[in-house]
Amino acid sequence: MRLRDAKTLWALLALTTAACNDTTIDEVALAPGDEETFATDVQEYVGYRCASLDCHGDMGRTLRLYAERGLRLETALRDRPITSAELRNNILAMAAFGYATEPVEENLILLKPLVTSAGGMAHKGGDVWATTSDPGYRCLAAWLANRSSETVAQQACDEATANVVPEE
Amino acid sequence: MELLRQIPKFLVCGFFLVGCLVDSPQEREPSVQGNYEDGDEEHRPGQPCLLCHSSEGHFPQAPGEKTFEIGGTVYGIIDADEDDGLRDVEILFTDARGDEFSALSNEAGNFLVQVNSSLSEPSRRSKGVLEVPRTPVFPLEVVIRRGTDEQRMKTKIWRNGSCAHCHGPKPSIDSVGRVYLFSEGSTP
Repeated sequence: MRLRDAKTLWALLALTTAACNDTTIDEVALAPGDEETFATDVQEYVGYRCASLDCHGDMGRTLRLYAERGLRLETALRDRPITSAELRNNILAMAAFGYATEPVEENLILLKPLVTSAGGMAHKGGDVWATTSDPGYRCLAAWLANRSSETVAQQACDEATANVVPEE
Repeated sequence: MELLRQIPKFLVCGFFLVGCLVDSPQEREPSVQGNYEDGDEEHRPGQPCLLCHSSEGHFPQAPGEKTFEIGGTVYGIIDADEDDGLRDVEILFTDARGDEFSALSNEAGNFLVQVNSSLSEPSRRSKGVLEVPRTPVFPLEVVIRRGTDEQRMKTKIWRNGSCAHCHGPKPSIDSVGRVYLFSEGSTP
């Protein structure tokens, strides 16, 4: 066995072990503004629609998402607003599903919730969007394409959120 | 010497093998529910009903051959000295189709919703059991009510019919705490 192979194996082992033990990642470079637009435009929709404790708010999910009324990084955060650390973890979780995929329509974050008849993929959580014109799809697609600042994108996120929050 | 060089490979393979052999948290969940005397609608209050009583539950066949679509326990108020469920609380559901139905909690605070396709409309049976004519479609919206006291669930239920899946005994990173009819400061 070559020394380089052995080093690679040890590095993989160390990385895997670290991934199992660490629930937070503090220092990962993201494009400026990502967290801000995610927090202001996307998190509320994702928090209500995707990150409930019986869906992606489950620690065992591959795409693990934090939300104010869902999974929290610490028990002391229960009933408190979402934190920047939790937002960052959500962004990183989504990044792992192909944040920089081009074109954006091929991103798993968009394909999984979309019904297969509209070009989507199988999703254990069921069909979330019937078409690509669903406001939830448009909201996330805009964020992934770095177009969240556009008025239509913000309107899509507002509409999507209104659809998933229980009526008062 | 060649064998020594292979050790890292064996370690990595062993690491992944152990990962595959160990039960997942979901698989371990049934075994940590404790050993209660089972058999009626008032057993195991506060535990995730559908973990066992579901067609996709832990057992090949649900205990007592009873499967439910929704099941949970309602409590009175957050109080360290009070750990009993609350009876006679109405649990009102609205599903994604707009079907509305309501269960009534039993002596243990438990309520259970099951399908009886021979019915034309929901029918309450004794001891907290509600039968509905067709399978509820998620998401569900929920309100609990007794008299003039009412709590509306702040999120929808998207896929898990076991209330205790999210409403564990204590608030934690993955539990919002039990379902209480009365908020802190109010009088039961």
